[in-house]
Amino acid sequence: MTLAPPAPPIPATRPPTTPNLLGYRVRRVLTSVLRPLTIFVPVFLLGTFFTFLLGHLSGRNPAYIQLGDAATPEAVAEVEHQYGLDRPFLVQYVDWLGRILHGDLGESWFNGHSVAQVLLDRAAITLSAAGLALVIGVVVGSALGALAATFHTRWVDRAVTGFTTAISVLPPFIVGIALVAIFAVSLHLLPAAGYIPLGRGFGPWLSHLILPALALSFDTVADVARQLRDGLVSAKRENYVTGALVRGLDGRQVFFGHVLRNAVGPSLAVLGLKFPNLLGGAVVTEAIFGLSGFGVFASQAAVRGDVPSVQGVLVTSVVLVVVFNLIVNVALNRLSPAAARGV
Amino acid sequence: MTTLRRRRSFAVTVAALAAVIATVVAGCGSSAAGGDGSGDATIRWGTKQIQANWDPVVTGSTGATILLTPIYESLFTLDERRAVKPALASGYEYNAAGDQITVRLKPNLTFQDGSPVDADAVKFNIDRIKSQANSALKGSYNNVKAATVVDPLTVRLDLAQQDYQIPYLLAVRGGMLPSKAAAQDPTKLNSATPVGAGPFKVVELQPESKIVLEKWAGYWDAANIKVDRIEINFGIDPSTLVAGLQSGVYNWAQLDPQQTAEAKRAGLDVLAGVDRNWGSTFLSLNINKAPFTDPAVVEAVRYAVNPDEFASKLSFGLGQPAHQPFPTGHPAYVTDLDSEHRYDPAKAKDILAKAGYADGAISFDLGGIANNFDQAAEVLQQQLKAVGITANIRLQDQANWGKGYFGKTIAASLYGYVGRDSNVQALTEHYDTGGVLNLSSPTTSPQFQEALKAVRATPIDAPDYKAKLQAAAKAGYENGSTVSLYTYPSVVAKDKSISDPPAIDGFQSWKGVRISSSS
Repeated sequence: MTLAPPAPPIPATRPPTTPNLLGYRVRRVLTSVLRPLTIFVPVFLLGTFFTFLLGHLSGRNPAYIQLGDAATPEAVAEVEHQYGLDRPFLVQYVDWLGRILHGDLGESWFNGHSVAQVLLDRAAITLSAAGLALVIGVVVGSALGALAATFHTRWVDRAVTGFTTAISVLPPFIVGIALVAIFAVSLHLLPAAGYIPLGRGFGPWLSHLILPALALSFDTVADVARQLRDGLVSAKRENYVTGALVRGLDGRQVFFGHVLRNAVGPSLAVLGLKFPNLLGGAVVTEAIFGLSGFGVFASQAAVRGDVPSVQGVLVTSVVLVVVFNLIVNVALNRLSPAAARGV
Repeated sequence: MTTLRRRRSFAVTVAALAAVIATVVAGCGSSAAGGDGSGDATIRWGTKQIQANWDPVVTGSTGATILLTPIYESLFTLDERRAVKPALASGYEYNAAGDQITVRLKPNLTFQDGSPVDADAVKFNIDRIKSQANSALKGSYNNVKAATVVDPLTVRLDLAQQDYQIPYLLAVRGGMLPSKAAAQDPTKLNSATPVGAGPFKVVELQPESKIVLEKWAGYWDAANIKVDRIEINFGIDPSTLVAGLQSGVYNWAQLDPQQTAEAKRAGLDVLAGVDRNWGSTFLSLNINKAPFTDPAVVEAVRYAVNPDEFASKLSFGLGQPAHQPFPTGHPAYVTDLDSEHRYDPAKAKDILAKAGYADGAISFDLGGIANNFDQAAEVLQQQLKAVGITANIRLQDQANWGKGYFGKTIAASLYGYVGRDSNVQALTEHYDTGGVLNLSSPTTSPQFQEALKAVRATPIDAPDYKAKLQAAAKAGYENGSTVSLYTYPSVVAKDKSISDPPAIDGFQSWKGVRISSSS
């Protein structure tokens, strides 16, 4: 009689105890935050270095902006000394980097104001428009994506796909001009231009932002809808979904707890890519809607050679984009732990 | 039961959503027409222009004058016939030699910060004009040696030579008077807190974005100011201004010529006359740089350019072809100049051939400000090509272009001019040594210098003043190195509820302007 060797001990499959679960979650969050930070620091340093180098190589000079026809060689030298432009390049860079790490982006060569203050004032406008566009993109895009996935291969799906394809090829400036013509000029429902701070009322604030946000949002709506539709269709075919339904779980619970959670990853990743586009798109949209935002300021500063302002815009953009991607990363890892493991 | 609950829940959700949308649309609708709902007598002004400097001593661009005149008052002003009239000053007297002018100020006037408008403030401003590193008026005050306070309401200016043009200089741009107290910190005055003695005081200034002005009760002629508030929005894309006017976001806007027809179709009032604000576009040649060191080449270029084509293609029917920097009706406009260099490419070719130049032998770099003179450069390039001259277009941003233009190191450039308050100053800037628009500076012509001396020695109310002014304008153009292309009016479109402002060349007066309640 032979005896079968004793079975190897079965590893504990119990869920971790509460303190361990907490520690596990903290580690996950820290990992998802720290990992991008290891990318953020070199990206920031390289970005700032090249930003400063480009400003230096551009040959722009505050003297010619400020003195105009009074720019004699002596006056030019005096202004250059005043701004420290007669020092070696690396000395200027280290000094500048030290100041931006303290939130000091210098003074505009054009208007003499603090670049940080001007950008702060204007960022409120741009981030309001971009934020509202993002909200519209997420809400409408998700609704359309879910609708298309629910009626997969039926006419609703084809209609949503056709609609999102059509709006994805419309540039914001065309959409903006059309929206102004319809809602401002013809119907007199909304103002054609301008911005009212939120502090002066939600209605006026929204009325001035809704058209630019709509114009900016079309691309995001299309991308979110398409990614979510594909994600939902794929996730619905997974065995764990079939298993859950066979076990008699509620359809809504299966959708929100399993299908959506696993399908939303690509849409979130797309949002991470869309944010820089929204900031970039703001240049044209702000011009059309008369918004004194970040984008218009950046393009005007570049045209007139206001180097500190351009550098300030670039540094702020790097920070905004990286921070937004960080948030997307954390959200992605929370929703889909596999993403954190690189699976 | 569950189905019923779900339906109710769905109905409640839909109703709540409808309520939110209705609230938002109602909120939006209420603010659609009136911008932020500011008072009735408000000018809501949109412009593509961006103003960074608010100190009249620093502001180089004369185009900024219309933005500064609501804040600052000058010692004298101009009426609709360009006659010098009292403003902060009540009058002036010259000495017998014409090299000293005494200006008397009105009593009991103050600036918007409460400090007094007195002789000390005038002297302080003139000293600042002459000594401040970034003063844009230094050249204009070359003839003013010193200012002396005679008594609190009297200031005397000692002149370097006989010059009866000083009252013009002290009118509008050159004579705008900032508060002495505020100018103790010139950087702050220039970028953050402009303080003058004009009809409106600054209540909000967002750099490069917006300035809000409110009527100032202490203005010496406040009874004639009927507008309560002016909000100027800067950096607005010109293509969106008409839509902004139609939807009520703006009720006053400076347009590009190409928007004029659209504004008229939209039923807006359009002000576009050279009797108000105007500009001219010209080609500056540097006769100290090849190939323009040869007078034959300059002469050939004058015959090669076709101002009619510039006017028709670039000013959308509003401009006039020009053979001088001033439009018809300007005191310095000379009728004879219009017939001197009529477009004649055959003659241009002939001049070049006689001077020994083969076809295509002449080429030069044509400078200018990018996004400003692009179309003009292309038209000019084609016209010169037709006579065998190659113009290589080299447009740059304003700062880099300024190095070459103001440094007088480039051979040729396109540039523009928007008028000056002093007639003689307009001539010196084009043709004199150190003239901002004289690319050949320090070169000037003896003929112009002689005529200039004669007009300076003539009182502005003398019967022969205009003839001497025009003689100087003629000598300057004929012997200078400017090739005029076309002149054009600056275009303003406004809501019909705003009455027409006075038409005064070079600046914007708000006296008597009313906004009817139908706005």
